[in-house]
Amino acid sequence: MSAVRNLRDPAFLALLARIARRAKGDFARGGRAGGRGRLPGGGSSFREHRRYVPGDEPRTIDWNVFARLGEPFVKVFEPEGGGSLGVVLDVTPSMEVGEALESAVRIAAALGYIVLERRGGAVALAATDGRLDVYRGPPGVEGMLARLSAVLPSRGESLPGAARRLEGFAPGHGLLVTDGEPPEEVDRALAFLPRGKTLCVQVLSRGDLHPALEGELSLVDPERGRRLAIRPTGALLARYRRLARVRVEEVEAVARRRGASFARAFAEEPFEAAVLALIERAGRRGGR
Amino acid sequence: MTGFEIPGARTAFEEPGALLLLAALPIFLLLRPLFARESRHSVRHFDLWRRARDEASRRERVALILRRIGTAAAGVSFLAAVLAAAGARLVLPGGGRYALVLDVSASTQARGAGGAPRLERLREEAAEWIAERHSDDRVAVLAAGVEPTWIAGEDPDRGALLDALAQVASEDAPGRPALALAEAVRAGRVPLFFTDGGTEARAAEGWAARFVHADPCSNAGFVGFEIEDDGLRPWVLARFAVRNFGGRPPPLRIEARLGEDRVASIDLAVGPGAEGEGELRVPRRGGGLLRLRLEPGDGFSPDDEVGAFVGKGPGGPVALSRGASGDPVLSAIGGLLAEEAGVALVALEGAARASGSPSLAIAGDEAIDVPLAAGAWLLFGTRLPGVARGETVDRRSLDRVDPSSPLLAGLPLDSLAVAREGAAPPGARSLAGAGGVALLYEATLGSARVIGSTFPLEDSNLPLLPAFPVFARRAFASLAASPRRPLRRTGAPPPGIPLAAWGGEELRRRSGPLPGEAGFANFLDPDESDLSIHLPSGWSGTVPEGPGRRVDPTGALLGIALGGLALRLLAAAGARALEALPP
Repeated sequence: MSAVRNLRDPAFLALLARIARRAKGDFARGGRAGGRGRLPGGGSSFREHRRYVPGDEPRTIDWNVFARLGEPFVKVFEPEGGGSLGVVLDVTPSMEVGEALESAVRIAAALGYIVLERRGGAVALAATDGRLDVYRGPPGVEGMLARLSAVLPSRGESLPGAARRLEGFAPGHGLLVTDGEPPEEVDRALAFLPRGKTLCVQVLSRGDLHPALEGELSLVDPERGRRLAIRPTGALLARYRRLARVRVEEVEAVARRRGASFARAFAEEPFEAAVLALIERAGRRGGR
Repeated sequence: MTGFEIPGARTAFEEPGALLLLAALPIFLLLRPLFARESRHSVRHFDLWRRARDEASRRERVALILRRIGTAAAGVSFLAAVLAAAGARLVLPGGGRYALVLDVSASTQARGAGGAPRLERLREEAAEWIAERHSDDRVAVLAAGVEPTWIAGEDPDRGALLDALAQVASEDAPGRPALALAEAVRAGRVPLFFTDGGTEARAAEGWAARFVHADPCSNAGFVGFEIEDDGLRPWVLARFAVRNFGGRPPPLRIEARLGEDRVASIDLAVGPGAEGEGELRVPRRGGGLLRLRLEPGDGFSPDDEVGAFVGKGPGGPVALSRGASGDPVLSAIGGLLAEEAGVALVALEGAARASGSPSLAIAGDEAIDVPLAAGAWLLFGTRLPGVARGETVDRRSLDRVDPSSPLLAGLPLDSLAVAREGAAPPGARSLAGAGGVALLYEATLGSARVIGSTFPLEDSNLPLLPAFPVFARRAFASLAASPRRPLRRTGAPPPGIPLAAWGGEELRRRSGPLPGEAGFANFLDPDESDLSIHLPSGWSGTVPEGPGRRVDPTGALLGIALGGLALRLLAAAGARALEALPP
């Protein structure tokens, strides 16, 4: 797989560092409040065993349990310091529309960077292309950015399927980055993420809500390749805007119902400001 | 031999394939919206768009269709305007071998309304055709006169061709274009026939002909016609009057035809609006239909035709019986009649055995004991079998003449004196008599037609009267001349003459009756005349376009452009009105 974007670009890394510095207060506030900040860090007190999954640190394998049961189990510790973050990244073809995928990748990179730059921080990245990758601590930043740089649109897996694979990782916090299509999948995906500790980010483009279309058009469904010939008259656009508004509100309602924070980001917005707004929103929710 | 197909004939463009392509382009543009692939646009909420569209009313879909029609119409309009502005014209690949066959028959001398001879029009058309040809074409010029004449051989130089056209001259006779067309084919060329129509056009049927429409010509026609025909002389005299109905026709030529043979002709100069008279002495030959025609005689103005039937003249000799041969007067009369009719004078041996088949047999002061042979007989004092002898009178003068008989009309017979008389044959009709006794009679005896006297010539002074030769000649004409049937006039006036000026709806004869022959001289029945306008099939008077003819499509293209624009505006207005309505 070839890289389609370079998130390891020094300028972008500098931007991530700046965002991390500006976001530190929010994260710190969450961490000091009760040791269960909105964005996670790693810990040293034992919490439970779980089955080994590829990507787990071999040092966490409990060899005694392996000797007794014949299956590898890893020890899960309570979050401490950096904590753990499970990221579900929607890379289905609909994310291609309006540069939403680019925004989603960068958002995941920024929030993952904030977690990994702390000692003990861990990020499990499950994308709908079927891959699950786990990164730990500052050394993991490089790998995470490389992985995100190579993300391509894919129909490999559904959004709930990707979220399900985070079960073994048992993240302390969750991050779902999606365009919200369809809302039912968002609902089912959020079921696999920590309730009350998850941020759902719906990434859209302005054109999704306020399309500026004209002329004879053949609309294409990026997910299933269907076509629809339309001429966007004023009446048709008004109908669509009403339906689209209901749809995004439905996604937000789903997130609320699942106890997740919800934020909406537009691809056309300046990236740094958008990420800081997300972090601030996540921090407010965590403070409540 | 059949004609040739000329590719591109009667098309507006010289290249038919390109023309078809050009014609198909607007159709393609009109149909294009039906198959057009719209601009593609990926959308995230595809289902929402579909729901929104499904909720759209039907009139919005109609508006969409209207807009597409409007777009297509605008495209067609634009294309048509561009083509019109560009003066679309394509060039036929050259290298063809052509022969320009020019009609040089007599009718091409006639002048049109502009005063120019028709031949000049033919030259202009040919020159225009030459100017439009590809430089690689090889063109020759052939004059279609009585004999085909190559004016210019194979010469691709246009200047030389135009010079050759200037050398073409009309002839004074109808042309024979079929020969010229065949000559062109023999030379391996595609013939293009330039003619003013008429009989020559008929010859061009099945050929690739290019017809030239001649201007309306000045016109002339017969206004008088009579035949002088005594039934005996070997010629007849046709008198005629011709009127020039206007314009300046060339010197008129009046041609007489007996059957299909040209037997006489005369030229006549008649000024505009004037009449001219003339006469033609025409040999009778075997008789038949005598026609006088105004040349050129190719079916086009100033053609006209009148005609009459001419009786068949005496075919056999004049025969004298023994008694007539012995009578110096009858012998002299017989000789004169034979000479005038152009037949021989022979002796008759017996009543039933003539030498040959006499046109007229003459007998005098003798007794014939056998029935008369078939034919015409003049009998003077001849005693026939079964006829009473009669009584002798001292002197009897003519006191009664049949007023209906043309034989005696105007003849001075008052001094006729008869010494003794016989009896007329049974059934005879008295032409003249005295005291209730027939002196001159007309009878039919078996197959013999007889005119005779009941008295011997030697017992009368009839041979001494000046009227006697006239009577004998009239009797000859009455007995020997074949009957002539009347003709009906044609229904149509000559070209260019309104029907009202021709005699109104009820057509009247133009020439009066010949003396003594009511309804004899008349105009021909169309079925009996070969005077008709021959046009190739498919040509009803307008000029068909020939091959290579340039047709300016600008008007049609601009019409299409305006029509497309109007349709575009209408469709857009309709679509706006529909979309403006509340959901």
